[in-house]
Amino acid sequence: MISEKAILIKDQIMVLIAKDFKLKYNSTALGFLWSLCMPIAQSLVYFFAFRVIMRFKVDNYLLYMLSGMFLWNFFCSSIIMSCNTFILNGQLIKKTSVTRHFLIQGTIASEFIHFALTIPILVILMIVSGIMPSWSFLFLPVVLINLSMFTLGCAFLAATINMYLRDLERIIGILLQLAFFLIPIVYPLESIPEKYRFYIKLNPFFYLLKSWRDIFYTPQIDLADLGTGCLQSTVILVIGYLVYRYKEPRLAEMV
Amino acid sequence: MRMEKPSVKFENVSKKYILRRRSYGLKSVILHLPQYINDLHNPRVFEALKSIDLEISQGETLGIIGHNGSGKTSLLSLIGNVIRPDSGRITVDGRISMMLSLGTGFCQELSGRENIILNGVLQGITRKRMNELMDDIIDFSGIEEFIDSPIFQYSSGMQTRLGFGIVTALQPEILLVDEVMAVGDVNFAKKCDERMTKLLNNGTTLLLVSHNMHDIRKYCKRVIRLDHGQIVEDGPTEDVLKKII
Repeated sequence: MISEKAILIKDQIMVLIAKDFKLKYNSTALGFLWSLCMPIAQSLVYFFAFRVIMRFKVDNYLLYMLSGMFLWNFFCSSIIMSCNTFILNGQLIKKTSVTRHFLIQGTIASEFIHFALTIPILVILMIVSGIMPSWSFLFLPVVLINLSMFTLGCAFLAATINMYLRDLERIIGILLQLAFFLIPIVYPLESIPEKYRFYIKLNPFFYLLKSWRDIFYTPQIDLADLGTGCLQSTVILVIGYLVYRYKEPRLAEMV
Repeated sequence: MRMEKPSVKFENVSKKYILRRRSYGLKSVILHLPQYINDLHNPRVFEALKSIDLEISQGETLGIIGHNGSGKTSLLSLIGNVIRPDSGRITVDGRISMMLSLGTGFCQELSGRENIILNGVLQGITRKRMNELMDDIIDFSGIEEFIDSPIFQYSSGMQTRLGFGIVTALQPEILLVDEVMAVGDVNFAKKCDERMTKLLNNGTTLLLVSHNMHDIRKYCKRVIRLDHGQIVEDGPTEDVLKKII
């Protein structure tokens, strides 16, 4: 009985992921390549702007930036997609007894698959840059799980609030643009004046980003940073889920 | 009649909908802040169902009739756990399949085949089982040529046939049907009829919302009539129908 239930839950999440994939790419194999275009094109633009024009001194700048960019791209598209998840699946919510949080999890999972597929690219880039993969890779699963938890928490918040404030997606778009420059994705933390660094570190995304990038870039893990990141992602997930839980009973009436 | 344990039981269930003036965005909230605050404090509500007490035994066939807005669909949605009651208790015993509207929960961009899997899995059947049922569903709905085309190309009749094919193939213990039977040609109506009879003989509990008294007579032994969110008649089909005609 229990295993039957587990299979059913797995099936439910799988069909929702499959649906997202099919809708997004019309089942084309090139779909994944399309999703890579955006972060790579952006990276090239910033590479040109910061390396060639402004002459940033960062070793292996492309690796530094691309690792951050792939992660940021995962986070942004997850949040923006989940704003509309409930509205796009309105028919399912109103007419079937689908477990609603599977819809959000499905959205994040299909974005996560794209994100995970960028890891080989980063590894190749590492080796090309002369950095050998090290024991830091042992922490990759922990980092990935916490990144997903953080993203899922934010997605719950965005999806739920968007039920009440339908223009949230636009506002989030602007906020994400702003946030992009508030965390060291394209620039190193050291380029920020000493007295402002503290505020940059307040951003709950900072430690997770740092841990993720360290795996490929340094390549070693600062356990204190990772621990802080894990704690933050747990808190965000709990808050997000509670807000969603509070509003879930009226969901079918809102979409 | 009430020998078996109930499939569905309503105890003093009420449901209100909060009526909103407009779809709020942050912009309109800021522009109309006083009105928004006022709405939060004194929301305009519509009482869809008022302290409903209802017990439906296993294998019972219940027709639900009443004018538009009397709460028929709300009643089914509550049983299907799509909406939740404001007060009272609903207990459901058994696996539910529902067809709450035409093309229930279909994803318009996906093919018929993909929708069969999606729909069945979301209604609680494993993917493996759905693949086994696939041929039967396609055969029943008679849309072989269209099964790999996206749903938006289907006529409304085809969507209903597919939906009906899915929910009945799932062998539900409780079947909720909302006003969708009156489609399809004579041939399909006959097939539907056979399916329903078979399901009901196997002990499926049926709740049928319809304005079509012919369907109600055919499938339901008991009828309730809703009026403004309250049950005003409850009894054997002929007795209730006699009163309103």
